[in-house]
Amino acid sequence: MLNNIDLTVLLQDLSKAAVETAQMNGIGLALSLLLGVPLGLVLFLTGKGLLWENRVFAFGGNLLVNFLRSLPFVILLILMLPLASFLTGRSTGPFAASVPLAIAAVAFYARLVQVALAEVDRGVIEAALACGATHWHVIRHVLLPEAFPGLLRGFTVTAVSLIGYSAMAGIVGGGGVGFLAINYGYYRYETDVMIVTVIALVIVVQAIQSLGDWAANKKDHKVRD
Amino acid sequence: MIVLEKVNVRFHVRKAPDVYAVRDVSLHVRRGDFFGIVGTSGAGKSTLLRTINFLERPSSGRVIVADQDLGMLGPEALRRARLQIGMIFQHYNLLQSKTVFENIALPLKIAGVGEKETQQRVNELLELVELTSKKSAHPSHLSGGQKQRVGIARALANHPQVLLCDEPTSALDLETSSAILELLKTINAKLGITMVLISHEMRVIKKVCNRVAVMLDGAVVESGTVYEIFAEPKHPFTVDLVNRTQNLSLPDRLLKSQYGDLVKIHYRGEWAEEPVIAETLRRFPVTINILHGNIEYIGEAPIGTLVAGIQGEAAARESAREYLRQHVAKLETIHAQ
Repeated sequence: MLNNIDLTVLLQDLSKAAVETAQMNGIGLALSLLLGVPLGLVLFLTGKGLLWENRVFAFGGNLLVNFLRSLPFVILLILMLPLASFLTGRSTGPFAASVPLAIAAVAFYARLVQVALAEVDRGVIEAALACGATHWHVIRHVLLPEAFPGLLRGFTVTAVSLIGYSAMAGIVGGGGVGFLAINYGYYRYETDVMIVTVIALVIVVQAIQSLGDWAANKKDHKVRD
Repeated sequence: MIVLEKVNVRFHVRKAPDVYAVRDVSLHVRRGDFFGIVGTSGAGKSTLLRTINFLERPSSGRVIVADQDLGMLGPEALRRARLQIGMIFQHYNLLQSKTVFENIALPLKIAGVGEKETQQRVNELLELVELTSKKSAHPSHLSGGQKQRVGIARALANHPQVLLCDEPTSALDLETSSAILELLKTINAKLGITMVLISHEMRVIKKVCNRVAVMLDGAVVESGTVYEIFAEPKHPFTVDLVNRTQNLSLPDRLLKSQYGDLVKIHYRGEWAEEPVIAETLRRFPVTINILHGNIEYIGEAPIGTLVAGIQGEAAARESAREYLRQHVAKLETIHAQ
């Protein structure tokens, strides 16, 4: 059982791991918003019958996203090591790990953005074009606001998946809460520590999901029948 | 106001000949007209309407709106031209995420109108469509009729010269449909906006339009004033449409059991107001049995149709029919004994 010394050490380790997890996922999520939304928009708008219809672009974009999403994350992690060390100057630590995480998150979220945009009624796009909207107007005043609840829900799913992925980042020395659970619980047979970390993860994921759902529902004015 | 010259819209179909959604349509809509385009679904009405604001670019032909040849315009100029052409839709196409106010403000935002002016204009429009109380509601909380009113207000936001109406009442019940049509009529009359409305229902056209084109398989088969089309439809398809609207079909049983002559009497204009039947009965020893009848007013002008059986001696029937023929617009003998 845990004694006092162990508990202090554990709390220290846990808080260090929490910071690492937050760093990795924060960077990953920020980039998924920054790059995933535009990529999702391009995937959607180059589709058939849409504003930027372009078969080559649509095919290429889909291929890229599918490729990145079909790679098991562990393999992506290893494949991206050279890129990570080039970008961050080191090949271990949360910043290095955030490179493959961000790539996975961008590809994942881009697809969810595309799906959310596809839900927007084409008639509404047409109505905006009929009143003289530019493509930018359509994106800014129609697509993004109309798809907003879907975008939020997708973002929540991305955040939760990313926390799962980030546990694997420990393999390349990324650290984080998930890795703590693996280290203590799996490699050192300290089941109680593992349980504590797992509970912490469950609480975090639950909180993110609830917050995401709450925000999405608040913004959702669609009629559902 | 709107001139269409030999407009064609062609779609490519894989491994098949091209399909013409619109073929060789030439139309002229005058300023202030309430122009109807009627036809069954799939006749190309919707595609034709969309060429008027170039949502659908014609494969060939010219579209001229307010003296601007839309085909000659670059993207920016086309965008400017579209500010002058409002459009409403069968399914309203409102932004679900925005309030009524924000929906109506959208075209103003697009046109770059300032905050204060937008406020004022939206409030004006809300008053026009009688929705001031729903200003902050989201479309999901509105009835179909209210949604269409928002659609109308949005389409009018930038003071367009033309309003395109794509089956605006087809998703509404009869009563709401009438109210919306009344509103469109008022907008046409009071604001002088040129209207083009498409519908599959002659009833709708008859209620609001002054001129109409009949479409069949992508082509306009007949056009003219609504009165002309109703009074003397020429193309068999138009005849069929008009008859269906007047609902003058008789049950077979009734047709078979009639003895005497069976005639269809058409009245036009002032004839409809003369007591021709009474006069015929007074002059000739016949009885006239009215089986079916209908008088409609298109604008102020009446169009009447009666289906009647004439009984009596052969000579008297003949003279009665002759007298009727001279005093009504048209007499059709369905069968004579």
